[in-house]
Formats: sequence, C-alpha cells, structure tokens
Amino acid sequence: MIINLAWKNIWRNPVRSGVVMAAVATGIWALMFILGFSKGMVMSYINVSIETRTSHIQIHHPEFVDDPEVVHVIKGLDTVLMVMKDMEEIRLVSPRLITYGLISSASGGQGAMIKGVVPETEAQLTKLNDKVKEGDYLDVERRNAIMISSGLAKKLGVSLHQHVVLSFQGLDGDIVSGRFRISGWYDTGNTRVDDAIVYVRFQDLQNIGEMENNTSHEIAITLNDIDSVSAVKEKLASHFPFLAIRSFEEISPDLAMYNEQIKTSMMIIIVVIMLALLFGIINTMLMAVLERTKELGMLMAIGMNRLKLFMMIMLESILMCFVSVPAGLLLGHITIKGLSVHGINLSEWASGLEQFGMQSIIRPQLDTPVYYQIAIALVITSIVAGIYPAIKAMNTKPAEALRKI
Amino acid sequence: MNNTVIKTSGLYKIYNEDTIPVYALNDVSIEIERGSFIAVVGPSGSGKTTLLNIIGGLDQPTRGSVVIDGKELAGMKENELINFRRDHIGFVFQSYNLIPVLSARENAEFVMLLQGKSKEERNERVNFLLEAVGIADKAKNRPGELSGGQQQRVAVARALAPKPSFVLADEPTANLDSKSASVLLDMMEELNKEENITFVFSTHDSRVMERARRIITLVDGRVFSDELR
Repeated sequence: MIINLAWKNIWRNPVRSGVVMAAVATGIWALMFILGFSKGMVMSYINVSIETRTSHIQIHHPEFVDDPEVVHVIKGLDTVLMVMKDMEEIRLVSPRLITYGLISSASGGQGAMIKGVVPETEAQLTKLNDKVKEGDYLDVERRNAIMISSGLAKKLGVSLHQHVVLSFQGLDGDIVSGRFRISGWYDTGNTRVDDAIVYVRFQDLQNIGEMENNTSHEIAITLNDIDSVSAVKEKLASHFPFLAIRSFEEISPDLAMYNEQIKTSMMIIIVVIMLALLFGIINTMLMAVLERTKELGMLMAIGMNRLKLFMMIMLESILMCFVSVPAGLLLGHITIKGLSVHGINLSEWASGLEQFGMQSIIRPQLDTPVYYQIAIALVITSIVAGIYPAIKAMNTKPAEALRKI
Repeated sequence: MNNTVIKTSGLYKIYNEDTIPVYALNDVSIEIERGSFIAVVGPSGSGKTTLLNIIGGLDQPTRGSVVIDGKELAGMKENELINFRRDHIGFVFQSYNLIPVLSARENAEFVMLLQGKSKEERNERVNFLLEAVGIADKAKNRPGELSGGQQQRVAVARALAPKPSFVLADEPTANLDSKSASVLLDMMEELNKEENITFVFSTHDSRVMERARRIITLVDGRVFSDELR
C-alpha cells in the first residue's frame, strides 16, 4: 500500500519528478563517462608504458636493479627461457643486454643507455620496428646496426647510414669500443627518453662487450592477460628464487601513483556529482512535502502513523532513483561501449599526449563492479536525500496542517 | 454497552496562557450518545473546530478530559492515539481532503488498508459504502474527475469504512451547492438512522442545523446552549 501510494505520488507532478529523474540519469551518465574516460586514459598510459618500457614483468640479476653494472647478468639464459616457454600465461619474451656508455661521432658525443635487443622478439614485444620514422629497423643484414633518435642524431651531427662509435665498459672492466652504422631514426613520442637510449643488436653488443654467451641483463615478458601478472610473477619467483622478478608496477611506481591520483580525482568528482544530486533530490522532495502539508495532516488524522508517513516519503525518494538509475546506467553503458570500440580521437593533441606517454585515441572503459558501485552510491544518496523531507513530513501536526489552505 | 460515545469534562483550550490568555474552549463539558446526529454551531472563532479537533484527538486540551468509547485520550501515546483515531473516529473535512492520486474506491478503502483488513473484507465494505453514498459508478475515478459533492460522498465513505464509533464532520457542506449539500445530508441522515452511526457536525449551515436532532451552540469557547430537537 505504501509503495503503491509512494509510486503514485511521484507521478503527481510528472514534470518535476521527470526533471529530477532526468538529472539523476544525466548525472550517472556523466559520471560513467568521466570514470570511463579516465580509466581509458590510465589504461592508455599503462599500456604504452608496458609496451614501450616495462613489459608486464622483467627479470634481472638481483644486484642489477640497484647497480646496473655490466657484470650483473642473468646466467643460464637458455634454461630460463625454456621454463618460460612452457608457461601458457606468457605471450612473449625478449632478452636484452643493457649497458651505459658514450656514443660519439666526428662532431660530438653524449652519454646513453645502450640496449642490445633481439630484433625479432623486440619487434613483437615492444613494436620497436613500428617506431622507426626513417631508415631501417635493426633486422638488416649488415653487422653493427644502431638505431638512435633523430634528436640525438642532430646533437651528434650525423645522418642516416653514417657511423658512430659506442664506448662502454666491458665485462673485464676495460673500456671497449665498437663502430656502428646508423640504420634508422626511431621515435616513441617521448623525446627526452628517446634521446637517452640507443638500440643495437643483442649479438653485436655481446660480441663487442665480450660478454659471456647464454647471459642477459634483462628479460622482458608480456602476458596474455594483465590480471595474471601477480600469479606469473609468483610462479617465476618459485622457479628462479635467485633472480629479481618485478611487475610493471614495481618497475615503474609512477604507474601505480598515476592510477591512484586518477582514482582520488575520480572520488572527488563522484562526491561532487553525488552532492549535486543529493541536494537536487532533497530540494524536490522538500517541495513535494511542503506543498502536501495539508494532505499529510489528513493522512495522520485518519490513522497513518508517523513511521508509515516516514516510509512513504523515503520510498518516493528511493523509487525516483530506481527509475533513473537503470536509465542512467544504460545510457552510460551504451556510451562507454560505443566509445570503447570507436575510441575518442584526440589526435589534435597527439604530440602532447605522446609526451605524457599516452595514445591519441582514448578508449573509455569501465569495470563491471563500477556499475554496482554507482548504483549503490545512488541508492544511498536517495536514502540520505529522503531523510530530511521524511522527518519534516513525520513532524507534521495534523490539526495545524489541516488548517492550511 | 455504555451508550455514551463521547464525553468531555471541564475542557479548556487556552492560548498564551502565561501572557494574555485566549480561551478557545472554556470549561466545555458535553456527552454525546451513540446514534446521535448533532450539530455544533456558533459564530467564527467560537471554538467549534477546536472542540472537534480535541474530540478527534488531533489537538490536546490545556485542561480537562476527553473520553471516547470509555477511553481517556489524554494518557495515550502518539502512535496509540493515531491508531485509536484510525479505528474509532471517522473524519469528514470541509475541503474533502481526498488523496488525489488514488481513485474513489482506493480512497474509500485507504483506512482499512492501514488497519490491515483483508481484501475480501475491504471489498465487501467498500462496495457497500460506495453504493450507500451513491458513487459506485465513479469508483474508478480520481478526485479530480469528481464534483465537490461526489468527492465529499467519497470522503464520507472513507470515514465510515473502518466502522468508527462516530464521524466528525467539520463544515462538510461549506463548499457544496445546495443540491449537493442536500444529497449529502440525506445520505448521512439515512446512514445515521439505518446504521446507527453517530455524526457530529461543526457547521454554520442552516441546512445542517435543520436536520440535526441536537444543537450545541458555542460562544467564545463556552457552551451557550445545548438543545434537543
């Protein structure tokens, strides 16, 4: 009976109730869009970072993490790779040699991180071949190929196919040098990082540095599913307790920090939107109660007790949300689904986004629990919004209320 | 069974008692018997509505007691009083005060729903009452679709639905044209005679006074006269 009456009361003033419900639905839609867009941006940042920098998991010699000396190598590389080959969660593996040295040309020199990569696996894992803006990738026939950024080339005053010299510390502690021919310019969009890293072939670096066979400084791993990172990391740790196995969040704490910052910002936005909806609903419910003072007095006069009156007003507030919440969620879901397929094209700001390590097409996405969280938050908001008007209604004095015109 | 349905003793309602007291009711003692058809009359501000509100448990007297069906209202708690009103007192208001979103039938059965009566019991009673007040064919109409007279008849059906001890009707004909008022009063008189339902009116309307079998006249909150006719 109370539900029936509350439901009918909502439609007593369809325009006013409709406006509130539309506001709630629009609020939910806006909230979902902002959350989805932010999640899309975070995932874009994380994906770019995983693809170009961290992979999902990296393996190092334990001392290499804090002291990236050339001597801190992973030994028994073949055995490690063999174990990983049997793990179905792992999609790609790429070993790397990493050292720090000097790149110099006839006109100048600069310090750089020298990465020795296996061109085939690296192309699959980091799509390094796609980053080549001019010239060739490292998979050329000729020995001692090197890829550098165009910015670095400008500083060194070199052009494509010219030679540079890499000098770095060999395994025995002596400085070794090698002459490399520039095969191409690469550009990941992050100029500052690009100018500090040069890529050569794994085999070439191993030969010039006189490093041991069957060793590497780093093994980069990507998985089929980002959610299995912890499980795979634990599995690898059990196989190789003597190695440092780190997830992308451990390698790059800025990812987790960025994620947390976005979450905090989102919480603030959620609170602001919920507060706006809260006061909107309170206002409407209060108006509905005040303009019905006489009727509420009559209801109490004929025998409706205060609890039932309280429940009736609360139900009016809750039922309005029961109509608008599914509508808002559906609208938001359709928007997010549509945009996750087509993406939001921000190519106008592509260079800026790339500087931040993001793609120019953002694909909004929302996890299913967020839908429940929004729905629960709205139900709580509607309950809170109903309390004051319901108390106001409950405190109606029938004799006074009935005297009102 | 005691035949007295309403008994007030030394009833006072005083506003601003500590400053400049205004006596809305001043020592009102009346007894009303079951099956009465009574009009409480008097000029505006004489205390008619205050008396009805206090008898109906909607307002508290400053002093004095009200006993309904042998029960003293003064000692009752809020919810107890609301339930007592629901079960013992029917209200008919000047401006009908129906619930605009419910149909005539739903309005009529509303108090029975509050009482938790079964569907069969409600249907039987409401069908009878809608028929009795001559509004059965408008059962599905909402108040906005009914004339003033029809709305007031629905209000009477609602007041009688829970089988109350008596009905308090505050200026029930004030907003009605003479024909509607006459139909309403005929119907109430009939229910009074045939069902022995007690009606207590507060009114200025001579048409009501003509039909009342007892008239209590209030002046300045006091019982000026109490005459049987």
